[in-house]
Amino acid sequence: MAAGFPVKANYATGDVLTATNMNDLAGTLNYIDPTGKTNGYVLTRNSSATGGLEWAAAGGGSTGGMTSIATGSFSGSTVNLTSISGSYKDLKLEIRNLQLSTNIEPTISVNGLTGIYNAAAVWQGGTTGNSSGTYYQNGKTKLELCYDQPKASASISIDIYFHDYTNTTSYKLLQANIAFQNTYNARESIWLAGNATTYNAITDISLSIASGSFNAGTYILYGVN
Amino acid sequence: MKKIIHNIETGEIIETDFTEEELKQNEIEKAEYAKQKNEEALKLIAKKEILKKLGLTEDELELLLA
Repeated sequence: MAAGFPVKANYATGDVLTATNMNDLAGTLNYIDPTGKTNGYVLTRNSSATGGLEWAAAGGGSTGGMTSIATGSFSGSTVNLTSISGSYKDLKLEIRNLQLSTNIEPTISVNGLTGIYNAAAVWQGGTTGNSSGTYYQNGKTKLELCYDQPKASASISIDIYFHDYTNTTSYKLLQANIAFQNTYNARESIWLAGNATTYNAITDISLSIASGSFNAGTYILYGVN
Repeated sequence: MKKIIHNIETGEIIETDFTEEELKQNEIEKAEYAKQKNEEALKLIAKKEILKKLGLTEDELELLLA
């Protein structure tokens, strides 16, 4: 056995060896243990780690990379994402084909807090789709994501971006893009920028409706670096 | 009322009933929502009355404001 070979009788599936210096017999050969690492993780360069490599979430090491950290389906009248990791710079929540049992605006809240939501929004829609305008929300119990009511059973698409969600020195900035069919049967789109007036890191996100239930829809929460 | 709780750290997804406190909060939100919708409806009626006085249609108003 060459000098420096790590003292380990057996190697398990997924073990990776990395050399400190292959030209030096006295150099250390390290092994990187994948035990406990999530499927889909990749080896990524980290000069501070032993052997210069470490297991990490795919895309997690590069700026702008997104990692899917939660996926699921809508049912009930509230979907609550809890224990959100603080390991990313931003969060992006994608909601696809959300359908409601009744005509009502979906709302969003963070950390179980109420009365802290403010936003300005531009909308296009109205009775024929030929109207547009602006509206605001100030100190709302929960942040409303639609201007006119979405029509029951019609598909709603929502993307929400949470900027710098772990910072503890400023209010939490969020931006949302929403598209749906309203109760006038017109197509409606909304661009919304708002804030949740909390200094705490966001660890919990809820999407809810005050009455009725979610009939369909899926969500993906991404961590963004 | 039911809610889904998705614990991202553990991956556990459970469906559970609202607690008494959540049900009370939901009643408050429903009342606020009904009040808001009522106010919006009253504003719409007032707007239509003003347009009628001015002899304008909705489309003509939108053209003026565009």
